[in-house]
Amino acid sequence: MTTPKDDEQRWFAHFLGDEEDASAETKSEAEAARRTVEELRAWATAPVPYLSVDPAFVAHPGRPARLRTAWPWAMAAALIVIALGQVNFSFQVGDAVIAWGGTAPVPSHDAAIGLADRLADLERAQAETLELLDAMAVKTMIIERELRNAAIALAHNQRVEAQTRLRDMEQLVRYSAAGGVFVPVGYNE
Amino acid sequence: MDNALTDDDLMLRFSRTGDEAAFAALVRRWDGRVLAFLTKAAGDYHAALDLRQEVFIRLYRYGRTYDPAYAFTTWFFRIVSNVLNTWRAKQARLPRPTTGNGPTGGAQENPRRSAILREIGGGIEKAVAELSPKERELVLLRLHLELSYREISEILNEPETTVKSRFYSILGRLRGALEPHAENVRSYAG
Repeated sequence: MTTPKDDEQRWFAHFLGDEEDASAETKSEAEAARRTVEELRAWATAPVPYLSVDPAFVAHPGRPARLRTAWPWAMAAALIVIALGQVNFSFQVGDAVIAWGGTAPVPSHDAAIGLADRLADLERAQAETLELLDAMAVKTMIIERELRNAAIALAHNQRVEAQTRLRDMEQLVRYSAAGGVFVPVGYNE
Repeated sequence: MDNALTDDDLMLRFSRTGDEAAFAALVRRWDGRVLAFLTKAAGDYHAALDLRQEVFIRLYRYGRTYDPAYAFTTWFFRIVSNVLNTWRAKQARLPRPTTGNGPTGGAQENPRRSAILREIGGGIEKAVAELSPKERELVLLRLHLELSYREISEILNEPETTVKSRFYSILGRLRGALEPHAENVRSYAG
């Protein structure tokens, strides 16, 4: 002797593919179980708009992306060289006169000291310039990724909307075939 | 990364050697499915985007603790389940929103579609929304990922028989909730 609850569980098991039960295909009462499993499966497998995640960002969320091409470095170096060609200055520290530029009249050993200090200054300036370029490249990459993700999301949203419309129409057609469907007043689409 | 490698192979490689290419391949394989799972389990698309990121950060961080005795899917969805539990605990402390947010919630719901569903009895989304978050998670593990009851019991850390009877009980309740909608359809049809 089985209870209605036992029957229902066996029918659920049958439609889920857990166990075979021949009565599930013949009994009209099993229809509700079949419909429940079918609708729940459709909900569980329905697509959602997809936005991809960047594995590199997930792996190192705190680390900014690095420059991957050489041209920004070369451009920065060229800019510094050009800038240095335009300036002409000198200053004195104790007995030493430190100068830069073709017209500065200083002894050669003072010029060497001046150049060494100037080189250190240049290296600092170069590092600062490269940091700025690095930051700009990171911002560009972030904007590019966001644009790409937005485009992908838009495309997916449109696809999901189209699938939803198709499913709605199929459902309407199915129910219309069964004898008609109540359509709210003012509903024209 | 070789497509012939299974998820278990990739996870083992990442776990043993820290191979980031293996990690990236796993992320690419599971990204979409995890996002869909989290969207439906949380009922909030935008929250799901953040949760998905948290899931993969934990996968990376705890990758070395992977136990090959478990299938990757089982081990991985324990992480997903833990992330969801943490999120739910935080949500429980916040004031409840009046509508959902995103593709499965009310905020962006298509009114045309809602009208049709109301009239012809497509009440599954409403019925599922009435389930508790843990119940939605169980339904998704079984029907979205098509995991066995044994695998689900390992993820949820519950006996297999409990998982199975809980799932059937959920189906019984959903059938009850869907029946009035089906009656509506029958009455409209005839």
